[in-house]
Amino acid sequence: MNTTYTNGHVVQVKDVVKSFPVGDGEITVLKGISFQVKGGEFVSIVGPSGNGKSTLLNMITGIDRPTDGEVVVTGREVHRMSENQLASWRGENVGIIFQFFQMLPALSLLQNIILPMDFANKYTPKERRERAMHLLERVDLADQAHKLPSMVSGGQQQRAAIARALANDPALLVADEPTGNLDSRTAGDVFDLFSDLVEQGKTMLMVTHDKELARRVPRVLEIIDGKITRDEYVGGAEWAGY
Amino acid sequence: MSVIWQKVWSDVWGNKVRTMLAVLSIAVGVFAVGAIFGMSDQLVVGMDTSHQAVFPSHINTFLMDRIDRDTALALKKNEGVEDVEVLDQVTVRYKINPEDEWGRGAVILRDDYEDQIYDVVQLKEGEWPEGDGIGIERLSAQFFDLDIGDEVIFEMDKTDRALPITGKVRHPFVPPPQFGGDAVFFVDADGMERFNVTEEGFGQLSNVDASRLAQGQLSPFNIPQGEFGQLLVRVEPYSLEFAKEVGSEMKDQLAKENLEVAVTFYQDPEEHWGRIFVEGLNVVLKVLAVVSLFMSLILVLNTITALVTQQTDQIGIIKAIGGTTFTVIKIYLAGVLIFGLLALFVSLPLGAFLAFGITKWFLNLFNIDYEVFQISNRAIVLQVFAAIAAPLIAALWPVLAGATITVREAIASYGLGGDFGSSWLDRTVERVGQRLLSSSYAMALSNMFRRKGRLILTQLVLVTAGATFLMVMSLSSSITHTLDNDLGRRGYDVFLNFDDQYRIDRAVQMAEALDEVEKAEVWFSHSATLLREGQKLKEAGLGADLIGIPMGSDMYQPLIVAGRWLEPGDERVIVIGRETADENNIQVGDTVTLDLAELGDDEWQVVGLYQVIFGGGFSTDAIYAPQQAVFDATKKNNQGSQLYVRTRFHDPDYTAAVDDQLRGEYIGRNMDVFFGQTIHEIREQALSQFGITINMLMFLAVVVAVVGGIGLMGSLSISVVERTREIGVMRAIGARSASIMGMFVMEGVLQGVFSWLIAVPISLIVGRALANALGQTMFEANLDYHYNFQAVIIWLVMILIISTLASVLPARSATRISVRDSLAYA
Repeated sequence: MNTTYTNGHVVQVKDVVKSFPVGDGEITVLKGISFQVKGGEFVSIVGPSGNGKSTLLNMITGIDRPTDGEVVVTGREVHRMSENQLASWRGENVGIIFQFFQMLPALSLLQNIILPMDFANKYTPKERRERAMHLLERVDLADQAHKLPSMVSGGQQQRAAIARALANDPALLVADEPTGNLDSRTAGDVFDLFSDLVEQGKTMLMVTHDKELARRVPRVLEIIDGKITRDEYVGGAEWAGY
Repeated sequence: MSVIWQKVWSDVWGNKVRTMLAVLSIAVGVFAVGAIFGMSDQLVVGMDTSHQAVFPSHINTFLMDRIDRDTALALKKNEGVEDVEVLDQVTVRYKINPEDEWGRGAVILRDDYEDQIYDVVQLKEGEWPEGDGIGIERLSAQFFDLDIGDEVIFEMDKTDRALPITGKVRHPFVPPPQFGGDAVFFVDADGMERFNVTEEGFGQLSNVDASRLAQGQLSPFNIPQGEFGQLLVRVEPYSLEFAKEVGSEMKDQLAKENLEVAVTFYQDPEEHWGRIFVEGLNVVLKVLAVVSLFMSLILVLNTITALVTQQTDQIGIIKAIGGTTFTVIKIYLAGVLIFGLLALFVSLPLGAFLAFGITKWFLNLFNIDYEVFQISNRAIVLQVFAAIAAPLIAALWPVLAGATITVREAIASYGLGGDFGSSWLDRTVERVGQRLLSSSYAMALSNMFRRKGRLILTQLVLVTAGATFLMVMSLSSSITHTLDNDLGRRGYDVFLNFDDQYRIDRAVQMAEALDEVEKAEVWFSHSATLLREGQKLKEAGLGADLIGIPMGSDMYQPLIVAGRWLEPGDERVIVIGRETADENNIQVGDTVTLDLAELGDDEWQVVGLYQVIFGGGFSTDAIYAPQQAVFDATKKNNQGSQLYVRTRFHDPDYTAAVDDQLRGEYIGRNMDVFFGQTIHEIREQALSQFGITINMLMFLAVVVAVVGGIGLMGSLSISVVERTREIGVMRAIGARSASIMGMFVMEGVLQGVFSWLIAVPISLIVGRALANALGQTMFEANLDYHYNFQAVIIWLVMILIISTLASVLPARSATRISVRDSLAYA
């Protein structure tokens, strides 16, 4: 899978600067960040609140654009794409998992998972349904398929959100504080799920505050004050947490 | 500016689309109230003021015999008589070009145009008629496209004579020609002699009995100079009862001099005769204005509910830092007040201008000048209430609900709202969507039901709009249907009124000799005065025409509202108008006296009451009786003046050709046709009379539909704002602009279709009652209700278009939300 991308990198971030206007001036959140992520890597991005972790994820997912620098993800120059191009690209190439699950409340879990396939016009309607059920089985929610998000627990919603992120079989999964609203046991289950996905070849970027989980991720990127202060393959190395 | 006011201002100014929608929502209702109530007030006041300005007579008496000036003026000595004025009026035939067909017109003579007393006519252009110069009533000039300097050819004793128009005159009481009125001309005091002809001649003059004028049934009269056929009288002090008393005494006094009264009309000096045409319409329009206002208020309620919901966290923060419930109420009601003031600023002048414009148009139609801009005080008061007080009252509930929320509740929400799925309805909707629709459209369906309060309010607006449209369309088709039924009760295609009574067998034989004629009938009529049981003969009765109908006739049968129609074997029985019966407390079965002037009086039994649906608007009642009985009473036989002809085919061109052919045949045998109409001409006349009502109703229906569209647009705009974060999530998982736009447009269209499904049965149920109410106001009879099923399809198409258009703007704004902004939202 990774061979299709430049030098096998799913994510290439080069000299990315991001500033936001504040009053008469501006505040720079990312100060020339560069890094690369190869296909099949599991990377956790850590650092204190307000230091640019989520902003960095937004650059990678095309949710926001850098003030300067380049972002190439799955071989596409994300920073040059229009909103519609980004939407289509994201739908097929990136699965996003949010802290607050962000399941659409008016749709059942099954429909929430079918929706990205509808948007991407991928698979036949029958295949979409079968695939959605399969993904729900994979996250152990097949019996909850027809329930609305409001009728299941937070952990179940997050698992369904992961299934939704996998709907179009994207190469890259991006999770922003995915366990931030879950109890430790449920958080562990979700993390196990991520590990399985990485084992199956997915590339995973995860912003987290959970030191226990971060410790279990092979590569850690630490961002402090808009700069990468640490980029290590720790494989269970010590991390003090924030 | 205090911080609280800054917050109010930022709510108003910060979201201009929301402010615009809220202001527009209020403004539409306030505008409708201002325009309709303003028009209604000005119309009635304008009519009455104009009426009072011409010194309307209290008693308007038409004489069978002519009277000289001294005899007439002697009536001034009667007790209670303020003054008496004499005048004359004849019916003539005229045409503009020699090759034209003769048209029917009226010529009026005033004794002295410079010194009129009652029913004053005004010179609007040119000069008063003098010598050969004639005046033309200005409505006639407009309608028949005649101007000063044009010549009008009059038929005078078989000699056609062209007379020049020298002035345009306003007559306060002539019916608009488009409502079926004749052309009206004026001559000076000597002028009538010009129309005076020998006894054998045509062009004969008549002291016009209004009912006979309407039917073109006139008898020849000579008019020597200085004699008059009409008296205008005022009494002092005025009351209808006293006027009738004086009228009776006059009749008695004239009878002593062998002068017979043909008919007496009593006129209210305060109220214009045209009120009947506008009062019914006013009622319906006012109802629709209130409906518009009600819809506006629902929109306000919707907007404020959304605003409060959207700012729940802000309310929590305000309260957390010390704001009281009252502070919160003050903030949001102040916003509503600003919306109302802005709406008033927009709608007050617009409503006033439209009210004035329609009033001017309507009054001009009734020959009333209305040039100076005026505004109704009542309309202003109502508009201020509608713009300020009503929205505040409407907003009170959502504001109170929001203001009383606790801090914990207010700031507890996060993520995408869990506001769907808690009820069986949600689950049912979700299941239906899952089974029948793709997930995008299933979401549109579910989204529709997410905010049930807003759904109900939006549906209320759309359903009201739909039901109103359907009911108005059904009203319109019911009016047409009623007219069709009324015309369907007429089995004839051509009606001709001879200048005199002719032998029935001869007239029928001549008509039926034509291949194009299937059947012909001649009716006999004689003027009569109806006296109630016990009423003294000398009292002024009700002027009417006694019409003898051949038994078994299928040429015409009016709408019977009580009792029955004439039947073979009937003798001295009559069928009279319901209005006459009601006003004089005459019941079916009562015996009344018909005074046939020199032929004496006879007692007749009332067997039925009929309702005039369309009588040209200005004719008086006819009394229908078996022809033989009328012959017996009038000591006549085999005579008649009204020819009814049924043609073999019934299309307009065919009947018009038969009409021409018949006229030629009769005129060739010295049987002059004074007036004639085909059934299609009658229908056109009727439709033009009701066209105003129908058009006004349609206008209001369109306004209501627009309000519905605005309502939906507002509701969807609020949904977009509320679902900003969801839109971001959808964007994040791959939704393109078209998908998001499609979702919102689908939601709007679903709302529209849903409202259509509800509006149809409501309009079916309520429409009949509304039609009956309108019918009672217009005709004092129920309309023949005809639900307009075509309108159901039209409204479906309209609501699809309206809901699509109303959705496009909010949907476009949804597609412009960037993922970052939306996920950072709130």
